[in-house]
Amino acid sequence: MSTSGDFVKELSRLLDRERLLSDSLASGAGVRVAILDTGVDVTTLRARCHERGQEPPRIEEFLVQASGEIVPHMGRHSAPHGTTVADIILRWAPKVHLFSADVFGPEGSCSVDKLIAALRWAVDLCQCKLINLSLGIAEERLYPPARRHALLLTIQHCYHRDAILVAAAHNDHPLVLSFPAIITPPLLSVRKAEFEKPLQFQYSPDSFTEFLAHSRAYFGPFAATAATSWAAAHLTAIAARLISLKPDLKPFEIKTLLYWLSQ
Amino acid sequence: MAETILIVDDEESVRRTLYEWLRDADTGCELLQAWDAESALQIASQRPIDLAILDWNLGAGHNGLQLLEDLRVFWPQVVAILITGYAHQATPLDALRMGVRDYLDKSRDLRRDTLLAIVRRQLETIRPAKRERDHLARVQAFRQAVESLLPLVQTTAELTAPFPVSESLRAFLRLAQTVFQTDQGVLVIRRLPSSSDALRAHADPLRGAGIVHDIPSAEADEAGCTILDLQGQPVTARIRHFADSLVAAALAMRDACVLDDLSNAEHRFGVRLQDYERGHRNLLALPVILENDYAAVLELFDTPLAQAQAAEGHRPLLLSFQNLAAAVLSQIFAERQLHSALLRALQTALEISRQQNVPWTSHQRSSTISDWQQLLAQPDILPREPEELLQLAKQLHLLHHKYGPPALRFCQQLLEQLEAFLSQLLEPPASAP
Repeated sequence: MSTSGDFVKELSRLLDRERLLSDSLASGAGVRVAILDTGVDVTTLRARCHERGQEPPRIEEFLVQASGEIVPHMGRHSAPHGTTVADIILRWAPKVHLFSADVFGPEGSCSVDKLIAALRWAVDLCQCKLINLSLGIAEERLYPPARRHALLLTIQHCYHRDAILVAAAHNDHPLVLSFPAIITPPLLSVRKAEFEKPLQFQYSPDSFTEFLAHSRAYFGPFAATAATSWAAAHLTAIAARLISLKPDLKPFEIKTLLYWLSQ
Repeated sequence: MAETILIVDDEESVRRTLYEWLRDADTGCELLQAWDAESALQIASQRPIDLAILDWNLGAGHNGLQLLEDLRVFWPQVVAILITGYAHQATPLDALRMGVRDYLDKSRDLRRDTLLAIVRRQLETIRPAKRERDHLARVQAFRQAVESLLPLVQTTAELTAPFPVSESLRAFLRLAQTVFQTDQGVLVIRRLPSSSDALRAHADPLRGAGIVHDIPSAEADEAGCTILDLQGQPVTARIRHFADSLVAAALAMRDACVLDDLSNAEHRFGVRLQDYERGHRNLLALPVILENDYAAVLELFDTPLAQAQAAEGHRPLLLSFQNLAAAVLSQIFAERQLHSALLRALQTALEISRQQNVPWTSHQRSSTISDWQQLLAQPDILPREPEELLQLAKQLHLLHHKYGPPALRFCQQLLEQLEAFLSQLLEPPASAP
């Protein structure tokens, strides 16, 4: 009869990160991933996938208008940032089905209302399992309190629809807290770190965030700059690979799995 | 401000009686007394007079009508009640023209109730007119104050547009040169389009159909960007293809970022370098997100810190610089917004004061003309008015009974003026030969 210690050891042996993430089925296949960012440059991403010998990516593009209305967007990004994020995800989970929503648009900024509209759209209409938020909103933009409450409700809504949010924490600013990353429990909040291998990550909770992930990108003008945006994209790709192995994973299961795998 | 009644009568007993009647009647007015024209004018030179109760015969060859004429030099709106035992000597037309609104016959009407009735009737007319005048005077004074202030604010606002380069900003840029060991760089300030701007940008047929093609456009990219060099001088270059610019990329990063090989960035990453970015080796970009409708990026070229490792090692310094930039720019924008808000407030105030300052009489006149034109345009108007003509005849009869033949002559003159006025109003001008 095995002891509880034996059981944990056995479980740890089974939950081997290298083994799980290098599984041939861990490709992101069948996983619908939303990128709420600056939009993506599809032409560039296709070319990048082609260079890597990957299949052409499935990408659907949308624009979140200032009014909160979301319309198909057969254009380009409003800044290169989203393309860099998508490139990271496609590099490590090449078979995901991407839904890109440009929440910045011509206004050049993401409001809470636009973010809420995009989250609802990603979960309810696109039925995305993963939502990458390599963006942050400063706390003062959550006023009045009703707006903050609306964002919290939307994040809870995502959780109850079995969608998991991966949100980039604030970078280095000691005072400006970046939302929604610090709303930790229902989502994966990510800080930046340097890892030898891009798919390494670490469960390392601090005051506001839980995970550390690789913070370098592979394409884009500021890819070499360590950034939480790139770290969030890496953790999204890792989660997508895991979900492609078992598509019915619940958000808390994904988080627990990531916790175990980071040990 | 209470109305002022001036009682002028050379008979001390009459004057005192009138004064006591009015004082005890609690009219709410300030009461002044004078015994002759000279002392009355002395009072009028120092105090506003709304209603004058004037004796016709003031002695020394003066009469009430002459005094009224002199009083109107000081206070053109003054109205008068004339007390006379010689009503037939007054010329009603002249008296009315000069502001005599009523008469009291010393021998018949000089009773307390008669006086008070007449005074109250006049005050009912004086008070609203006075309020109107006071209001217009205040509006006029306000308008003059605004008009004198407006050019100053307008000049200040224009000096701060499109972007004010303050000494604090110059000092910040000098500090950046020292700290980052480069004099090559720009500060790009972008005014973020408001929601309404964005909605307008989307209001074309394709977007209306739910299909959006290739935004932002080149025109939209260029809009709202101001570029300064590190000396604080405007750079004439315009940002093209903003969505592919390094400024857009840096703003999305929100944190200091570096591009260690600027020369082939276009080829490698598909970004569009701006004219001022060409020819440099590398770039350190410090995005500054402000709380208002602006964002900025400080681009520093060819600095030793524009290397990924070096930048990582100096994160606290870079962060401090971002914060400093945010503080400096926030202060500038706050001042600019204050000037703009003040200018808008003054322009609004001026506009409102202009609307308020439309003379009431001209407004009334125009509406009267309009009413007349409508009334007289009805073809069957005259045959239906026998009762009104009879009423008019009765009124003329009463006037004659009360004031004698001069009143009828005055009415006749009024009717002639009315006829002339209506002829001018309704008859077409003679055509040129």
